[in-house]
Amino acid sequence: MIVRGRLKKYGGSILLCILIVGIVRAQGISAVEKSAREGYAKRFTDSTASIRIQLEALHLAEEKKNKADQAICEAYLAMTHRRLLHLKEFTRYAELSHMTADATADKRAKAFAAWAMGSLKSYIDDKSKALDYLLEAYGLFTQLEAYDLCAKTGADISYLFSPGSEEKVKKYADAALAYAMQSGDPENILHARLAVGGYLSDRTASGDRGQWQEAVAFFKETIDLAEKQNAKIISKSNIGIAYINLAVLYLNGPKPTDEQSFLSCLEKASAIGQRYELRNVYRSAIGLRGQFFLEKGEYRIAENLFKTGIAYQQALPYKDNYLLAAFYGCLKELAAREKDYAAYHAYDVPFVRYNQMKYDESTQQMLQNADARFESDKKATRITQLEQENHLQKKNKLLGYGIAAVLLTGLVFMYRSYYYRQRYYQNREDILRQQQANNELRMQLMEKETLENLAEKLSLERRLLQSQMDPHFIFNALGNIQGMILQQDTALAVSYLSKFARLSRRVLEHSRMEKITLEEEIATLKNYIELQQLRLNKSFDYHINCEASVDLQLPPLLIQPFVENAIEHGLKPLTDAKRGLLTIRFNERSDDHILVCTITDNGIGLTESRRRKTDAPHQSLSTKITDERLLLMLKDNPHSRLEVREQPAADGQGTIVTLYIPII
Amino acid sequence: MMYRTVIIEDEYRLREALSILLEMVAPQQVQIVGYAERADEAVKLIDRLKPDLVFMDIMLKEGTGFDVLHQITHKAFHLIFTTAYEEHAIRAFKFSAIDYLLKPVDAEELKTALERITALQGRFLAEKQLNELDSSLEKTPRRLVLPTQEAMHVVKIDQIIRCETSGSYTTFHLTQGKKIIVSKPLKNYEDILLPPEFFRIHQSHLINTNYINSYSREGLVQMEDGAEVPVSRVNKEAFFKLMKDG
Repeated sequence: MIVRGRLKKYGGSILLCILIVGIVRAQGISAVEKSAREGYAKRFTDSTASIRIQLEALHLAEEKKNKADQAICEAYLAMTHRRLLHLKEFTRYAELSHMTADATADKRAKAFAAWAMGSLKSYIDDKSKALDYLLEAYGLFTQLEAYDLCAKTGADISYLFSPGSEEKVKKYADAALAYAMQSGDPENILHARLAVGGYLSDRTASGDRGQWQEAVAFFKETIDLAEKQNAKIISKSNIGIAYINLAVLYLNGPKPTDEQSFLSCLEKASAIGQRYELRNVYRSAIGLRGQFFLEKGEYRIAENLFKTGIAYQQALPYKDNYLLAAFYGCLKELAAREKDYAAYHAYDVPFVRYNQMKYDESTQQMLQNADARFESDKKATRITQLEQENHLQKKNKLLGYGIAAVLLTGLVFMYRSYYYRQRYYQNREDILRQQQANNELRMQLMEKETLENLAEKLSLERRLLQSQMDPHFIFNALGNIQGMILQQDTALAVSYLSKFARLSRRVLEHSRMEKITLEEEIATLKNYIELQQLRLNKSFDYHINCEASVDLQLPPLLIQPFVENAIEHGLKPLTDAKRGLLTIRFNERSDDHILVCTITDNGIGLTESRRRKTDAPHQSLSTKITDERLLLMLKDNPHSRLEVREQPAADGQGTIVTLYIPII
Repeated sequence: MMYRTVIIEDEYRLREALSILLEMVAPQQVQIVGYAERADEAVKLIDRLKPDLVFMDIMLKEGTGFDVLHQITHKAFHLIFTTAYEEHAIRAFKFSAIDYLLKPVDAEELKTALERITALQGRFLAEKQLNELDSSLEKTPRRLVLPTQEAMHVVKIDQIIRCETSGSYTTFHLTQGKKIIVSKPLKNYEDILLPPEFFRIHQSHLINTNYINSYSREGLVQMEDGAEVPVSRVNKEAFFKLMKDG
């Protein structure tokens, strides 16, 4: 159910924003912290004044050079910006607080800083870091006996453990409640009770009636307490959330639903939402009621409720696309049930629009959070670095004192020590700088290499097609067909044409593939060679011996260019006195996943061929490209390579090309 | 007049195709007196038969058509190269104004080529044209052969200020006020006189950008010979970009 899921999410974030007022143990609290806290308490009612007061407190702390107070003020400011949804400022103050607190030994400051950082991490969906920080804060607050803050962080921790670890959810919620009771602050008690209520509600999912009753009783009690202390509770949304959680309990409870209690809860929640302008509470109340009436079949009431919800939404300066989409979705469902398809369509249009906006928004939010996480982590690393450097410098200072003592023993000795120490500093700095420069350079190179590799591969793919369907080959083939037609050798022309068509189709297909089977490769080669045989008047024979499995896969169009070379530059120039022979052999080297392809011809040989072509303008583009491809593959598989050599004259001239192709 | 013709072509079927086509297109004009497949055979054949017309393939069984041209002593014939696809060679043919046909040969193109030969009225391929062929095969040829009714003009490319077309004629405006009119379309030269040195700024104008005096945003370019050449709307952007970057 959409509304419920949303409610839980909101519940979590609102509860985290609870404030700390009232009875805080008097000892250990400075005047500055007190005024910051007063400012913080105003964040719901007057955010401008709230921030102003806190900033004044911060300036005071800075003036007094009180790092502990400064860190606490910064933490409060961070939490205030959290409530205002200002992620940037929130991040800035949380990190400032963390850095300031690091520079002091004050536990309270450290606890506040950890609390602010934990909240930040939780806000930007970095659960595990959030837990680290909040547990640190919780531990410190416990030591400090700051029960109000223990309760607050405890409840937050409990939410973070949900839904993963039921046991811990319970442990921290219970502890939070205990601390809240000890602090006696109704605000804190309510916050902690909501955490406890959360796990009680979750337990009812099992359907146990006793547990359900326990949860209902607990929420009722919570609401009673909250209503009684209403005046002392600043975060009114928590009261509304208590009502809504109870209503959800009724709705999911045993059937028939206790309609009256359910509706009265939501009416209360809706009233609170409207009175204090708590949009989330108000919308949840309306949405839940609408859903209820929709299920019940009272469409008019449901429709009115959804429309009221939408109207309220539209009147606000801030649009909650998630809820608008949900409301229009409900109206759509309603129209569908009433079979009113015109209305269905009318609702579908805004639904699609808001749904898209909702999606865009959540994507953006995710990206923003991811950015914030990245920035925050980067800073943390930098902080650790600085700390280490600091540490080193302290060590070096000690070293300096040692040297000062030695100084007394002899001037020369001192001079030398000093000299070496300087050298040491200098070297260390140089080395660090060097390392950093090296790292940067390496990163740049790696990036560049990857990009270049990619570009190279892409352009190769593109050129591959061009090379395999070598224009010279295409037009020559067409010329041959023309010749056959003019000679009126129709049967030959038709057979040649269909072979040519088949080859063209295969090459086109293969050029788009990553890999093909050896069987396909052999079929394509045969097709190609037979075309060449027809063209050259059957002046040569060919054999293909395959000792490898025909099912193994290899990159396409690798071999043909070498066959083309063997025919065009080896066999074709042969005189009629010698019959050409082309042999292609495939062997598998399974130990290193290599297919060995040997292309042998008894043609004129490499040296002779080169001699004849010294000033020929035509050069084999496809072989050049295949060389490049093999080179590229070489980067991935060091065993792939290409060997070209001349057959010894004793074996009857010719060229042997051996390709070592990685099997995919 | 009957042309005594030889065909130098290493593929049997392509040779047959060309002879059948010649038989079809110009039975009264062409008499085939011999064939050759290999470069060395071709040299011997041409020197022995002293033909009037030679169809020359580029890739031969031993060597190339260019090798043959280097080795022959008899050079008084009309020459038509045939090629399936050799971009580089085709460019060279354009620079040296040597005729060529693309395979598979088109009957109409073959006819036109033969008509051009008839129009030359027995004036054969000029020796200097053949000499130019070698320099035209270089990466950046420095000279261009412009064939006219009177003669084969060899002009230095850096002396071409601009080319202007009217119909199927192209007028070359050279330095020192020289003008040469050839009966080839501007397109033929646009393909070989390339940017950034040359730029087709208008349907009818190809200019050497080194001779630009000034140009205005309105689209008029003044050349060093005083001529004002319009830049057409479609070429404006590319032209200004070239001027800025080049």
